[in-house]
Amino acid sequence: MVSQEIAGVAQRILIAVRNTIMLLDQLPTGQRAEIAAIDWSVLPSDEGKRLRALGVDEGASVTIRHRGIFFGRDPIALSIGRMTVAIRRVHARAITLRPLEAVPADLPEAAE
Amino acid sequence: MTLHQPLIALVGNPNAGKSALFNALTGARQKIANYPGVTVERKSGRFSFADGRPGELIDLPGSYSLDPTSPDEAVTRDVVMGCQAGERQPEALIIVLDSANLDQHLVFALELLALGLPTVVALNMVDLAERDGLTLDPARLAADLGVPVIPTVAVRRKGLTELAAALDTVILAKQAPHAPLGEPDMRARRRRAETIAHAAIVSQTDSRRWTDRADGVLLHPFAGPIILFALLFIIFQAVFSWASPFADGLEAGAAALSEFASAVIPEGFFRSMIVDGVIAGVGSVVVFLPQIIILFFFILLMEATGYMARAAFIMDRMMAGVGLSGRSFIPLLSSFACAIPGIMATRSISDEKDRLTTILIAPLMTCSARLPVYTVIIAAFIPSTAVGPGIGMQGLVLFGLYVFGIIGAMVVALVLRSTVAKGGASGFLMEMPKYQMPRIADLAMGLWQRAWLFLRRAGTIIFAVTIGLWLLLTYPQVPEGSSMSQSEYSAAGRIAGVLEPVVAPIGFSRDIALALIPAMAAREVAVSALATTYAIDAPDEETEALALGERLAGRWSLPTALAFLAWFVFAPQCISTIAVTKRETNGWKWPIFMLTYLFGLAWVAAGITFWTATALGL
Ligand SMILES: Nc1nc2c(ncn2[C@@H]2O[C@H](COP(=O)(O)OP(=O)(O)O)[C@@H](O)[C@H]2O)c(=O)[nH]1
Ligand SMILES: [Mg+2]
Repeated sequence: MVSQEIAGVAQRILIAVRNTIMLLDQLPTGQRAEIAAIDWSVLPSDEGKRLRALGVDEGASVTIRHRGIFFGRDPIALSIGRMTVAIRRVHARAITLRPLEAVPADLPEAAE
Repeated sequence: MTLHQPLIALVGNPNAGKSALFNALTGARQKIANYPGVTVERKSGRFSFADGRPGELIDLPGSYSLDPTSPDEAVTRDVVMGCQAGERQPEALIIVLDSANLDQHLVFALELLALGLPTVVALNMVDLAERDGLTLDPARLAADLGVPVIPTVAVRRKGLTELAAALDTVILAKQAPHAPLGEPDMRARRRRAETIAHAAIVSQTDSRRWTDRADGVLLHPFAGPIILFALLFIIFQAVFSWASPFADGLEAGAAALSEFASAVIPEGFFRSMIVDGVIAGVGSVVVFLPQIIILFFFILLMEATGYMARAAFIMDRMMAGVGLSGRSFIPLLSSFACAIPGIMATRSISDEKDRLTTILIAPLMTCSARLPVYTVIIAAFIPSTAVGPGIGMQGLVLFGLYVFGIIGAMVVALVLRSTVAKGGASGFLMEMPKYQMPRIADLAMGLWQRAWLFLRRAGTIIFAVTIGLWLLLTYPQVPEGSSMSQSEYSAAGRIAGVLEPVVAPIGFSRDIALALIPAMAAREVAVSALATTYAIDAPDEETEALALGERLAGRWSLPTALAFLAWFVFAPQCISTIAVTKRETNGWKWPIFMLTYLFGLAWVAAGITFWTATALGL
């Protein structure tokens, strides 16, 4: 069936897109990923500084541990290193990820 | 012997255990002051080296880097760099690290080490690291950092002697860190920190097993909020039911004391002052000590176990609805005990507008000082009938008053966030600490401090106000055969007469106006003021012995009583709150704003209550 085919293609595109760019907001709970980029311009400058101070920065690897209560699933509890940090989804949407399995092995640590 | 006392500063990330270490090293020899011009506390204390030489230790606010994002962090930077007004540069630093979170804590440590001051590292919380299956190599860490590294457990006073000895050595040798560690930017420091942390870790198992397992339940999207609300319900239940036997005991004690005083003091001025003034007034307030202790017990327990941060996490979504964040939840919850520690706790809110809004609505949380007022009025006017299994009418009204305050606060927060405290939506960024068993000694110490503060208030402000009111109520004496009562004729009565026209429309009599004036000092004074007023007016011993509630029931109408309750939901009758607001906002603007808007709301709320109740024929 055509519609099934279209659905299949759409799903493959979706997976492909997901593997290249995924926002922290969309990371499934419990899966580890590396932060590829953070759009600092959408964060108030103090907030950006605090995020960085807590280790939420390009190159860091993070896991979503918990999502907030029922509606909205906001905020998010991230584990980073041996620490857990709570952030809001709006901020998570400014953070782009590279799923760990999609990271090429020869990529130098945290290219700058 | 030299008088020179070296200044030593404790620095590190928040929650590294600096304050715990500070307490362990200084014992009771502490002094708390403010840094000039800012609302940042300066905690200093004396400590002794092994040979008995004294040193001065300061506990600096926790920080993540020398690039501050709050006034607290700015003080930390200025002190360690030697440019804080009113402080000399420390001669040595104790950098406090959380062993279980080295790669994060070392980032700031590397920045501090680059300052080149003599330094000792306290590798703190090694007990928790062990619990989480983490073994560290302090010698390796010391070699990499170029300074002595001492494993400590601040709360069990482990490693303190070694720490003091190491400190002595580096100060005497003026020994700067020998590895030059100047890393210009945070990312480079972070990579360096990770390398050093990895080298120092001998073995580790799955991190934070305990905490993760507990969070799986306590932060569960459905179970989490249910548990939080159940807990809050238990707290309020406990405040009322657990406290009553103790409160009854205190009440009986006050009654016995008053009888004893009447028996031993000869009739006259002095007896009246002691019995009607001091014992009736102060006694009616001290009775609430058990409730305050129980409330603070739960709040301290939530803080000490690490659950408070989870409560903030769960509440963030709801707080976002009125333009605040989960960070405001902690100060607001503390405000149910007392707005003063609540307002002081707002210092942890980094966003200025958020903080201001939280300060301005904190007095709307039903603090423990309102309990005396609510309890007396409810007992006198609300029938103790059951409205359901285990739910009484009186309890329901009390609960309603709490809810009324919370709803009021939410509406006010919404309005403030779109008017005087307008600003972009702030975020919620918070480290979630590990769970841990609270230590009984810490809890007991915290409770003792709160109880003492309350009793001191009862012994000073409330005592003075009660005596003052008693004098104003007793003089001038009503002439024989006058139709006026003593309280009407007295100086206080005449002052209240001026206020009466303002509050008459909302159903308040002159007696109430009279009680409201001294209650500016503290809300609970309203009860003692009413008690004193009616004790003075009592024509004979028998009526004088009547409980305050019975007297009120005979004198006030139901609409008046309800309006009185509504008034106290909003009225900012607490000098200490105004004073702390002035201190925390650095000026008179916001305390005056707070007074105005709260009195306005109180008048309107009492008015609406009175007019509605009257129209309904209650
Ligand atoms: N188990 C354990 N708990 C500690 C230790 N040091 C501090 N704590 C606890 O960790 C929490 C944070 O400590 P605190 O001194 O307030 O940290 P600060 O923010 O650096 O001042 C408190 O609940 C302390 O009781 C330690 O060595 N072992
Ligand atoms: Mg501290």
